[in-house]
Amino acid sequence: MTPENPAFDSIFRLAPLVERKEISPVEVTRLHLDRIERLNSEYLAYLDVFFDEAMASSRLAEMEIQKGRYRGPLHGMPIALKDLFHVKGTGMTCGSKAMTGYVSVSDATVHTKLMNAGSILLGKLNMHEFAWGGTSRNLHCGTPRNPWDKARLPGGSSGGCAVALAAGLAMGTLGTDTGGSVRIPASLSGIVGLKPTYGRVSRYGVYPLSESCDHVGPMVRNVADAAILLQAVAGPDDRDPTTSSNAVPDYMVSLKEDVRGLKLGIPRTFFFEDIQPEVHEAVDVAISHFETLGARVFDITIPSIEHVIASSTAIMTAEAYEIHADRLRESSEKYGDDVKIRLLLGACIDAEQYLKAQRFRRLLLNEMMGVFAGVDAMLTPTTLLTACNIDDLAICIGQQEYNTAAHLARVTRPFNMTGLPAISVPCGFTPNDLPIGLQIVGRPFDESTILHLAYAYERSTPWHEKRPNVSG
Amino acid sequence: MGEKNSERAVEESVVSKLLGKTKKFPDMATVQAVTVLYGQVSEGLEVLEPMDLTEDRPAVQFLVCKAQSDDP
Repeated sequence: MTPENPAFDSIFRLAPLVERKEISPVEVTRLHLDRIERLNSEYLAYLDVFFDEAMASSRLAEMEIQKGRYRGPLHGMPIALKDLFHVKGTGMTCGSKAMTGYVSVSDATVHTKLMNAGSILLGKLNMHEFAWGGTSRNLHCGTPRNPWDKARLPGGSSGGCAVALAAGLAMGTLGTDTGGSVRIPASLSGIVGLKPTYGRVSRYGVYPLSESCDHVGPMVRNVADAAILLQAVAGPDDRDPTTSSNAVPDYMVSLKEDVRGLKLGIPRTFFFEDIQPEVHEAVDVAISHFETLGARVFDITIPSIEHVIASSTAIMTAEAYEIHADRLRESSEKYGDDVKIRLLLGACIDAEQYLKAQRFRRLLLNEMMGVFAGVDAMLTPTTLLTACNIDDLAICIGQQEYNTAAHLARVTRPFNMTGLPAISVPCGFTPNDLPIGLQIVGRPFDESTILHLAYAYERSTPWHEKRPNVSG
Repeated sequence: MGEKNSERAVEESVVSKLLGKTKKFPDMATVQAVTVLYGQVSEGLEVLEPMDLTEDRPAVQFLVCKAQSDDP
């Protein structure tokens, strides 16, 4: 289906048109740059825009394609990166005043891969300071605005990525996910976010938050585009020893609509507790939808899941503190209060606590692998709440009050602890038009199955076609 | 009363941990916020004690999925 506004088109649909020279990468890039120029001050998605470089790259792409040197589906496609990926010779802020004046001296491996695939880099995107928060509230750069309601948070930490996609300011983006930072903004902003398996995508040249929990993942407007972007960036990297030598499959092959016979586990405990009723209802409807498509649904339990928050907090804060310790000692005033508090918490975690949390992590993975002996994937909400107002530090669900930032990441964090692949797809809207996300979780390195399920769901539901009312 | 003493003990512990790690000691509001979070984390980790976390002792590892897939 062709969208009414070409800025909301998909890479999957445009790529063959570019290959056949029916659409020019120069036109597509100019369209996006014009929109960014017009709309970015309203949405604060971009921190830096490479107007001249992007136009020059698009002309080069067009010339190559004209000469028959088509590189693949990303050739000539305008994409953008969260502002913690190194791009040689350009500034990188990580959304923080503490990085003022910093210029990258090398390229992130994923950036190199995207450039080799022929994509056009539009710019660098806004984020929660140092990726250390699920809201993208940012005192230094301004908070990116959710295109579904500008008074609300887009989610984070890759908030700028989600906003750029929802507002038609990029065709694809890469974000990072340490506790849900790809999936949370995907859920709150009505787009698709994929956190691959730990080790599937190189993190070389990506500013770290928590080395054992950090993942790089695509954020896009539909599942086929997630497969295209993942294909381009997945695979081993000599410069990142945590990458896996596991063969990368052809993800496009997994885009099938028939899910008959697939077994889906629903972990009701923890993942469906303390949840907004409209989110609960939408996810239940999505689960029933899979049943009507022919999948088989089972309730499952992960016995130790309730301990995941304390353990992941211990690990993430300790690892993040180690990265920031020197700067924190010298100039802690350069950090926003929320990030500073979490970093200082890491200074208090001792080795005993850290290692205990790491041991728990193995136990948790064993429990999840036990679940996967009987099912092909798990379904959960991506977030227990929809986008809240930017100033809401706490939210009420029923009679209970919750810290917004902590509650947003509650059901995404378990899969950073275990490294399992997880994708968020839109699965409905509240009566006031706020997006709701469904999380699909798979076995290690089985991105194919979650892409398959997500694609089948997307093809048989209308949610991904709905657009916010963005001028231009 | 016991609860108050316990809160004070956590705060003292936080203060002593931070003292050696910051050149400019954070303001009290920050210390109090860290104290609350630290209390929650240590309490959460304490309940792990009775669980059998020793069985997999060599598996204290970061690369949970990578190891699972790469190892023979």
